[in-house]
Amino acid sequence: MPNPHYDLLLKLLLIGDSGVGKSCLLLRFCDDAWTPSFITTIGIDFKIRTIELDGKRIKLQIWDTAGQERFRTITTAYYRGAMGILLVFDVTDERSFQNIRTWHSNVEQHASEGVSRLLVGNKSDWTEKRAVSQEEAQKLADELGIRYVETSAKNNDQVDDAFVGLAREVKQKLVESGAINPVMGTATNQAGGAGGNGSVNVSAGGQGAKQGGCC
Amino acid sequence: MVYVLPRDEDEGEAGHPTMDSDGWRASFDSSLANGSAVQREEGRDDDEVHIWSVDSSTTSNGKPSDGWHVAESKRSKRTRGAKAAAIDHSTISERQSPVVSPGPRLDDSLVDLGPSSGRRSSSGSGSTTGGGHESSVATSAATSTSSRSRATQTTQPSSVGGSRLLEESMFSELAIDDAGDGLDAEQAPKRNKYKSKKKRDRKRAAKCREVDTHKIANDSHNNLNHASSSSASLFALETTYDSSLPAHRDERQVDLDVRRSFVSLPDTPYRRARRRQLQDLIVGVLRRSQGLSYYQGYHDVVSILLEVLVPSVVEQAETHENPWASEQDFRTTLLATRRLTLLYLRDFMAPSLEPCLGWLKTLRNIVRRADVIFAHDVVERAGGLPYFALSWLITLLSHDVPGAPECEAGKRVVDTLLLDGPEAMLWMLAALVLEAKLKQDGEEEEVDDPDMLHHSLSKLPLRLEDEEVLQRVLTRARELKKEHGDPSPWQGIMGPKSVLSTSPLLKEEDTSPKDWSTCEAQAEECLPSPPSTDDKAAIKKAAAAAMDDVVLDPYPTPPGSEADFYEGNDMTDSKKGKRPPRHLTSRGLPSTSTALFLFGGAAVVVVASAAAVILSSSGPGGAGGGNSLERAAKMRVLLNDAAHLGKGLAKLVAMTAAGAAGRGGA
Repeated sequence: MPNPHYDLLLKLLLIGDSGVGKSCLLLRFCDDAWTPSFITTIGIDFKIRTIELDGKRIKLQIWDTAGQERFRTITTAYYRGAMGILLVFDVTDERSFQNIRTWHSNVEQHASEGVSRLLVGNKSDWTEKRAVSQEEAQKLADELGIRYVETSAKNNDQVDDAFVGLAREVKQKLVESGAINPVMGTATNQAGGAGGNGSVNVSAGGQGAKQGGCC
Repeated sequence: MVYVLPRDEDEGEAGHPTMDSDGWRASFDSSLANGSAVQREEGRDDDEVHIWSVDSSTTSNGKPSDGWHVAESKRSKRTRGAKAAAIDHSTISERQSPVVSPGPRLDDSLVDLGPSSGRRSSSGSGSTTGGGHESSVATSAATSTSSRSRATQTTQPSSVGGSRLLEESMFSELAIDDAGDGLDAEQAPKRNKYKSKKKRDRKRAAKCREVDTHKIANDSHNNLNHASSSSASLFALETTYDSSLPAHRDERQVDLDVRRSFVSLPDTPYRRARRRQLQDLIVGVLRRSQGLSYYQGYHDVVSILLEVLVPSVVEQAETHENPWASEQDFRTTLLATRRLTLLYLRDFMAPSLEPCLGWLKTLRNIVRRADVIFAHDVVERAGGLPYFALSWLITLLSHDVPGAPECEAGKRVVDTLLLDGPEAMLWMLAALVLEAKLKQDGEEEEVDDPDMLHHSLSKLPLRLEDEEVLQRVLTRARELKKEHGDPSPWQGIMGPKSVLSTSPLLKEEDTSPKDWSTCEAQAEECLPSPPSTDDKAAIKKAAAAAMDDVVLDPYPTPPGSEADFYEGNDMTDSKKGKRPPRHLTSRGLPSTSTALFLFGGAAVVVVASAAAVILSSSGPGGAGGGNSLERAAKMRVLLNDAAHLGKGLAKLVAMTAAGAAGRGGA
């Protein structure tokens, strides 16, 4: 493939209730910007940021999804290709925290086995409205066996930490499973073929060229 | 890896004599189904198939084991229903066809509320009086062009009667709408003059709810009352005029999205007022039709209507102030929103996303018909269905066109839809997808990657900023419809209760003038009942059952081999991706004079002027000399369009004109 400006392509996915700040986190991480008035996300799309990790250039393709339940029909189809998933809730919105369990069971159901997950409590800057304590969230994260990070997209607090941390975890898993070999690092990184968790092909149905038409 | 396609017993039945639900000749699909094994070589079959198994409920062990089996079982389940539905279809569409004379119910209500409706219409028209109100106001509101003024003059005499009728029935309905409303204490002073009538209305409403014109939805209404009483904690938004109506289950989501609307405006009292208006409208529609489910993006569409129909806003210093210039403004806009919703957006507001998928599949079929190679090499590689077009579809492009709702392109799209009917969306989107064939700078990068394809295709609406592209897409859409519109590409996909099957604008042989309130009532009849229980499983089941009549076969069929894709498809003309041109044999275009006759004269003008209202409202400063010339040209096109359609949105569009009237009066 021409033009590989990176050594490894990782696909991450943001999920969580509507309005918890998924798009804000993504905008902060990819464009280092923040706006109080965000538009809703409809359907699914991604943004890209290339980071450096242990001397390797890692291209992160981060998929942002619509939070409303009705769109899960489409968004869950993209879980499978994700190598890392950020489960986002709003620390000022108890309900969005309660729903994390539902989101998590969705992940169990649709994502690849062994996919890296991260619990993210966003809007940590909004202290006076906080409805979910750090301990509570940490407890849930422990129960689910995943890490918890509290972020503020507004103040750019721990945002990089969340994404880069997850990317590191994904990469680690790929190395452990032997999916990454010395020749890794082409644009069509096929590393995902191994180990179940690395399926690179997020928009899976569309590999038309190789598999014939999707009639 | 060898991939064996499941053979579906019902597959044969699903095929249509000329075209199956995938836009292929029936033989293509059946050859697929009968060729018991299709060999495919691929490395990551699991991934490939998963996208089809979009519903977790049909997977086993929590993991989709074989996506095609899942998709096929879904398909077969649906196709079994399809046959029965097809039989049903004819009866339903007969029932759906617009009624020439208003039904007895409408008559009753007209009589019932006659006096108040008269009062209302005169108070609502403000400075303008008389029956020619709609068209004349529309005329003044629109940019004046010589061609249109001529048209107005020549048809003025006949327009008077027609418009008055339209107006009366419209306003009587507005009055009826009041029946369900309560008096907001804050609004009381403003509404004194309606008070006694409202009391009367409310008593009547309490006694017997069928006073409501939309009493067809009565059952559902009652259901809802139970539902909301059972879940007393239902989140309810504040509204200006509808506080007495039971809350809708999706209002929490509405709240979240309204807070993210009009983002291009600075945070001012003006924006607060706009958001409050938006909230009033969305909640107003939802509370009146509890069978509708709100979707993210609906607020984008309503924002456009708001921009176009209600230029006047009472800026809000405090959040609780009334943002509407008059209650009339609200009522009229609500009526327009409601009709657009019921007649155009209903499918997207189903309890599940399946109808949307059906639309996307139809879109895919159109693209296939238009250019099979491109469809295969680009569009379908990005995803089994054009998921990238989902937000285009359900927001009528308003989410994706830069600057919408304020921009020209956004308004033009809605304008075209109003004129051409809901199916026009499909042709427009197909034309837009085909735009991707024209590469833009820097796009050749990574086009082989499905993700990148999805990404770059989803950015296509950005190109509509360019007037030239917009024009090309609109023209292309029309050509596509002429060339590939028959048989309808949603045949076998969408069901008898879909917008595409029931749209009163689709039956060209039907020459009766539209009674839009009847159409609206019929559309409402197609809505599923709102959930009457809190039990999630029961809700899901009921929703699924209701969807069977709306969409028959939303899931894509399994892939064939490369050869199948190109050669088994008779739609192609020597593999050039071109279909033999379909001549307009059976569907001659009615001439303008026919259209004038059909519309009784007035409506053509109303249609055209309303469109002009939308066009002209794109900016008061934009009416320069060059622009008005261009508008004159547009008006000619629009008049032709009206003729081409042989029918118009006389009523729906009349509302647009009435919105302008509201503005005039305010």
